[in-house]
Amino acid sequence: MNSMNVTLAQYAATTYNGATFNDSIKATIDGITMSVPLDPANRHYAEIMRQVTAGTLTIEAAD
Amino acid sequence: MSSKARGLADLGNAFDDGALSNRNMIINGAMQVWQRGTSHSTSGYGSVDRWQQFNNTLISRSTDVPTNEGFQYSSKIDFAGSADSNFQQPIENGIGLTSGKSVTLSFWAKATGGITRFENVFFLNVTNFGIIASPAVSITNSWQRYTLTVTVPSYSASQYSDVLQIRFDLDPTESGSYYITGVQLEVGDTATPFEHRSYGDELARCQRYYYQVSNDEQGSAATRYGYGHAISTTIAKIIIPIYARLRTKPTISYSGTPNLSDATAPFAVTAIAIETVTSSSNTVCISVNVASGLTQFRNYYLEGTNNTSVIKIDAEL
Repeated sequence: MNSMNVTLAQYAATTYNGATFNDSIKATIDGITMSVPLDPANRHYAEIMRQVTAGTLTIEAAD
Repeated sequence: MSSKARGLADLGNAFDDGALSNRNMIINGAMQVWQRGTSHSTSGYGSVDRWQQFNNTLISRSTDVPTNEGFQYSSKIDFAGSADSNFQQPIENGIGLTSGKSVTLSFWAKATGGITRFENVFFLNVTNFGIIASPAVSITNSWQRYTLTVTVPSYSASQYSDVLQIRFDLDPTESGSYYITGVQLEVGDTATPFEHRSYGDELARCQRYYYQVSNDEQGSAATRYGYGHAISTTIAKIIIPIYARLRTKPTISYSGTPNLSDATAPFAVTAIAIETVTSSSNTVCISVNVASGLTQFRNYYLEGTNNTSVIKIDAEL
C-alpha cells in the first residue's frame, strides 16, 4: 500500500477582495508540514479528500 | 552503392546511433537531476527527480554506471526485504499509449548482495487498462541492458486521460542492492539507443513537477526568492518566479529559516501557505507569516538566510 500518511489536516483561510474563506489545507503528510491547494489535480489534495471520503480523516476548521 | 541505398544506409546508421530525438517518455531516465538531495529513505519522492520509492531502505546517487555508455549517475536502491518494494515513475497522461500498439521499455541494471531479479516490472494504467504487463526480469551482478516490449490492450474510452506508471518491484524474499540508469520507454517494438539529453533540458522537464528555490549557489549569503507586499503586520503575499509551467497548483513546504525583509530589517518566517485563489500552474503566490512588525502595504521580499533555507514547490503526480 503506497498511500500517504496524513496525520493532520486543517483548513487555512485567506482574505481576498474583502471576503474571508477557506483557501488551502495545512497538513502533515509523511511527517512533513505542507500547505495544500484546494485543487483536485494536486496529488496531496486528492489523497486528503480520498481519506476524508473513506472516513479515515477529518479536516479541521480554520483557526 | 546507389545514392538512394547510401541514404537509407546513412539513415539506418543515424537510427542505430540514437540520433532520433524525443523518443523517451521517461523523464530523468539517466538519473541526472537530484533537486531534493542525493539520497532519501522516506516513502515517495525525496531525492532523484520524478522517481518515487516505497519500502526500500535507501535511494542514493551513485557514480557506478555502465562503461562507455555516456551515463554520469545511476540510482542505487538498497533493500532489506519486505513486501511491495517499488521504484517507480508515473508518466503524465499515459502519452503514447494506443490500443494494439507496442511500447518498449529498456534500462540498464546490475545487482549486488542477494538481489537476483525484479519480481515484476509493472506497466500500470490504473483507470483505463489496469496492469498492462508485469514481467519478471532476472538481473546479474554486472551492468546489462534489459528490454521489455508489451502490447497495449484494446480500450474504447480516451486513452490519454490517465497516468502510465513504470514500476520496478523486487522479490520480497531477497535483500541487497541494485543500480539502475538509462531507463527509456518508447512507442514501438524496438529499443533504440538511450536518448541522452542535456542537464538543462532534463532539469526543465523535471521542474514541471517539482521546483525548489534555495541558497545552494550562495552558501551563507542571502538569496532573494520572491517579492510581494504585506497585507497586515503579520502576513505578506509573495510571488515566487517559476520557469516551467507546473502540472497543477502546487503543494508548498519549506525548511530552514527564510526571512521577510524590506531591506531595513529581517523578520523570521513562522509559516508559509499556498494561496489557491491567486495561484495557477504558472503563478505561485504564497502567504508568508511572521510573528509581528510588518507594515501594511509595504513591499517585502522573501530571502534565504543560509543554504538550508529551501522553498519546495511540488506539483508531482
